[in-house]
Amino acid sequence: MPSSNFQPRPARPLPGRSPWFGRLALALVTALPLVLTACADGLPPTDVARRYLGNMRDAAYSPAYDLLSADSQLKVSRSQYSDRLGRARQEAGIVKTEIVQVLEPSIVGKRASVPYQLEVTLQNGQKLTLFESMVLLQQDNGWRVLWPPQ
Amino acid sequence: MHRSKARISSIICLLLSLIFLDPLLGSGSGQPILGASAAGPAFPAGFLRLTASLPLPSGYGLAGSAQTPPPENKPDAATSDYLADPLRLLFPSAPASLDLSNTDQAIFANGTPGFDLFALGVLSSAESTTTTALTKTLTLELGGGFRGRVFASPAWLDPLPDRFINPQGQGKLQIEVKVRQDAGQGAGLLPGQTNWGRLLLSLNGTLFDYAVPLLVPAPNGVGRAEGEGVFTLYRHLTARLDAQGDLDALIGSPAFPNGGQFALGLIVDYLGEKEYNGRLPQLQFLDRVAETLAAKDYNADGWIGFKPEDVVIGAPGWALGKKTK
Repeated sequence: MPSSNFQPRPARPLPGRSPWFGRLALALVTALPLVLTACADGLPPTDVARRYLGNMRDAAYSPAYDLLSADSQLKVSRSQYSDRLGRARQEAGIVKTEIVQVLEPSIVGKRASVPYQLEVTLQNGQKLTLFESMVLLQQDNGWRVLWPPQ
Repeated sequence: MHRSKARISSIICLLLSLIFLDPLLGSGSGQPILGASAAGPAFPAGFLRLTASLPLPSGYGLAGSAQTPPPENKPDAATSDYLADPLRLLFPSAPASLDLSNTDQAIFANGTPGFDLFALGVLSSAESTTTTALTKTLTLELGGGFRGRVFASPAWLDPLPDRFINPQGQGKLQIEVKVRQDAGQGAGLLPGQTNWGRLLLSLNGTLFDYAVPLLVPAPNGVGRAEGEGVFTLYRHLTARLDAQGDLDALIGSPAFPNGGQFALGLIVDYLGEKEYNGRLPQLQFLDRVAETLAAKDYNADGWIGFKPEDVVIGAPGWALGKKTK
């Protein structure tokens, strides 16, 4: 039975710090993913691909979602994307992903293909070397990743 | 005007009373959930239950073994031996009719995603790609009446059953998703990459899209240190296609939506097979790959892509090209 005597009180500011400090920190933390995504707007396809792969390596699916093309985002919601990829990684037993190299893109019009090499370590210690390629589209907000890859 | 408002109000009250009274009247969960007409008294409570039990396709579950209780009745010729009644398998010899006249109305839960991910995991080894290596089961809770088809691409993805009927009531459908290796049907996996398949499930014309990734290891002898060799060939291929004005084929085409990844898989296979036992020089191999991607006969030899004699010396049979003359 929850107590009804509990009265929430506003947090007191730390001594020596302005109450605006906390609000500023909160705003920065909230805006950080947006700022990082905005920073990707003018990047060439290889850098966007490298950033996307880095997010996948770190299981940072929400920032990775920001780098998907508009059509890809229409297909899958942020929460579904994070949930499904996290589950797929777990089911495959992937414990570590290393980006070995990301190559220069082939660009035709507003489409680009970026080849890359990964090394994936499984729970049983097995290492898989993967040679893959990522397709990106140039949109109003910069190069964005097509997902799912085909 | 006033009388019509009163009539509408009375209808709403009647419907609300049916919703709240029906559970009290004792319609048990074992009863048929949805009758032939959605206007019957059992509809509202049944609908509420269905919306909870039909999270398609996000509500699937993976199962290593069959979860459906064995059918009590002996199946007839048109009945699957692993699907519970009233789910019936239509064999390919009896194509599914599009006639929905004797099928109850389908019910889809609100917020049902049209897209989902069905990961097949990791193939045990590249060598196992010569046989049916993997089977996982996609389980769907179905409510209402359904006629369905499952379309799979590329050819290595093999769902069974690929067509089914659930005329009424509630049922559980288990689709076995197999990995097929059959050169005769153009079904093969690319080593050293994530192979992406796609299942398109059509239920009464509503489409549900499943992305199906499968990790396939590289063959022995193509590891981390071989990256430069792989990408050297890839760069030559890029230059070859660019010289022909067909660089777009490397990025994506209807036949190869991710042409670059397809090419990398063929290159890894080529190096893993020791350049097809040393019998196909690199330049000729790259010509075959470039022709395959662009669907053009660059060297005017009457073939697009790999020839039968290439398959004999080690090229993947499922990637056999086409004769042009």
